Amino acid sequence: MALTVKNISKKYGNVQALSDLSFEMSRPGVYALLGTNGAGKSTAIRIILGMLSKDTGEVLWDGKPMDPIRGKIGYLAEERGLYPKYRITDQLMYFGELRGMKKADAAKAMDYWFDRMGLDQYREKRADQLSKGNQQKVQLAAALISDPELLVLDEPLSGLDPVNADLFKSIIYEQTAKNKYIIMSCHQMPVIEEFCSDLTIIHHGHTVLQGDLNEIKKGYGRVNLEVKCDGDILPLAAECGLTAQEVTPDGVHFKIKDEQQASALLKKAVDAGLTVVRFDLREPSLHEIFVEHITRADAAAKEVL
Amino acid sequence: MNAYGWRSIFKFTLVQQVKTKSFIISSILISVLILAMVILINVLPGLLAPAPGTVEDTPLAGQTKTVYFADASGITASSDYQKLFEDAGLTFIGSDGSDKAEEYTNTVRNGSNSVFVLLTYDENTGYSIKSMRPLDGSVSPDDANVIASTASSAFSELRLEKLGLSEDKIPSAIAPVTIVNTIAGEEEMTFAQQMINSVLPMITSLILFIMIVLYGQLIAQSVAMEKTSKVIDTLLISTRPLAIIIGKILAIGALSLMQFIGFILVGVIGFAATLPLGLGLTSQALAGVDGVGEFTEAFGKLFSQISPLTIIMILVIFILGFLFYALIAGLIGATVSHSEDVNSAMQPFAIFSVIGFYLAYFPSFTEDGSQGMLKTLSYYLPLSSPFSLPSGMLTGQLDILQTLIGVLILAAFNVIIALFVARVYEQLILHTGNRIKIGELFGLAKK
Repeated sequence: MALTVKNISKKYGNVQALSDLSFEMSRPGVYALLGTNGAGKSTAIRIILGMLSKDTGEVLWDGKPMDPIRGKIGYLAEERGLYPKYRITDQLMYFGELRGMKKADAAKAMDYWFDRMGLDQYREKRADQLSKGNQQKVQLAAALISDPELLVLDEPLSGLDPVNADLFKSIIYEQTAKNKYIIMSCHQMPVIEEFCSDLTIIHHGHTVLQGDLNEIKKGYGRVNLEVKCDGDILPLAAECGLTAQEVTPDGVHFKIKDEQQASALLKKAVDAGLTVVRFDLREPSLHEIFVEHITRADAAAKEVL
Repeated sequence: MNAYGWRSIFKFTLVQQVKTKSFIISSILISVLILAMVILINVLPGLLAPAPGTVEDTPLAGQTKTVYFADASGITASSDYQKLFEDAGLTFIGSDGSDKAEEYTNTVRNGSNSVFVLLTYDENTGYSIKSMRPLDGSVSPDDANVIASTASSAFSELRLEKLGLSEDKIPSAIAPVTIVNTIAGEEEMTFAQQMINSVLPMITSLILFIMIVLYGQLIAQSVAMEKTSKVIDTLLISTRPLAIIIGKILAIGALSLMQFIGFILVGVIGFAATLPLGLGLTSQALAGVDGVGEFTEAFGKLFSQISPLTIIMILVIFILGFLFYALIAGLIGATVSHSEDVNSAMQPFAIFSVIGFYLAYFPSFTEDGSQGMLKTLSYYLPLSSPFSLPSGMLTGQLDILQTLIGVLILAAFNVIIALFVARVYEQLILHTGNRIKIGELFGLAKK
């Protein structure tokens, strides 16, 4: 099975919300759809899920046009929504039945997810009687109740405390292990790095970066150097032609041109008798890659204007 | 246009609405009110009516003990009235002419429990009977009126007798004259039929109007709530917008129908259960009351004329009428992005439904059965036809062909509105931001 998104575009009035977005998920896993606020992620997700009509392009599931209503799909929307005054059990059963589940199957699945997420004690509660975190758990249960093959998670961890965030992460891991296809949109870049193999970054409706995250990072090389030692490293760094990007109590961050610069700095520190606590040479983070591409796209757009 | 999933939406909406406190409380309260009303209808006439025989035996009941009577009519004498009042247990003091009028006036004014009746004649104004009561309030105006009315009735018969008419001809001479105005060749309408023709359109229109206003608001709120609470995003991966609005409207329509049938059942059962009690109290009292029989006969005639086809047609009109307004209400609900905007957005809906209601109701009320232009228009205009067609059928003012034309026009408009709603609803339901204006809706439909 594979999800193929081909050249989908959408215009609202004169605003091009999405322009020729294409990507393919040819294997199970987590695919990241990233972008700044208003970049077009939600529009792309709504088109993929058939909630919104597209101006051009097509969405294929296993080579055939996607039928989200009859297909096995789960969706956790960015803006959480439950009926505030209705019991959560009624709502989950309803969402299950809407996905075409039999009542008994929906009840069984609901029991499993209530147990898995620690919601058993709230079965008889109305949605507005639950905390925000618990409402979010009910929402995730609604997305998972029909055991979907394709799961779309829009900001799944926003607003969660660390314990619940770990619970959500473990569930995402479980789904990945079950060979599910997951599209995730998230502003927490470490989370994306933790789960995603492939990604697309959208900005003002246009794709600014796409590909395998590891390959993208490799393309940059190890250009980040984090150093922590018991003396002043900055004069030694200056001798090597390095300027600190950031100085924190936890260390100093340098951008290096190549790994020889890092070796030279390490040799100078050792020769100077400084105790090096940490010397970490790494590829750029997704956060840095993201910011760099967005900034570059904005600059290019300004030039055009 | 895919309506897959509407059944699940219908079922869920219906069950959840039935569980709401507002539905439970309003159902109980209105049922209790209806029950109280039908019990009162059964029992009240019996409680208010005087005991059997008391009307004839003691016409002058009250606090009056003495009647002063001055007869200046020139035809009768005070003595002609003496037996009548004394038989009623009153002391009678009478005189002929108006000589003692001032004396009687002062006596009654300063005394207690007495009434002075002055019967006079004037060439220009004719005969006059004036009743005067004491200053201390011991005799009520109603009691004084009863004395005067008794004197007046007696005078009507006595003067004819004094003028030489034989006793057996007097009833014919004083029988009232009724004026009847009908269209040539048509059966005359009794007062009861005229009343039913005026009231029935109002009742049928009112029932639908209440359903439309109450449940239209509920539909708009329900659609807006799904949109503003963002539940719509979860729903839209499982079903299409058209299925959502269809399921919702049908569920709330079924809810309203269930509630009204429930109210009717409560009314009928309550009426039947309290009928023996009411009959016990009212049977004798009602026997002599004119008009009750006439109303019963008119209602009986009306209901015997209602065929199963008429009942089916009325049901179809109610459903089409409800759908027509419900689709508009659902559309309005989808135009708002904040639940607090629902009431202001529903104002045009309220205005339209009120116009439709009055257009159907007022021509029926004012034209007294005649087929005026406004009334004809109300049968074929979708805004008013749901209110006017049922009453037109029930009162026999519309034949089956005219009704069918009205129903077909209403059905055609329902299809047009449904297509319009289906076209714009998908775009509206995911719209956030400012409320969409009516003009913008047409713009969306063109896209």
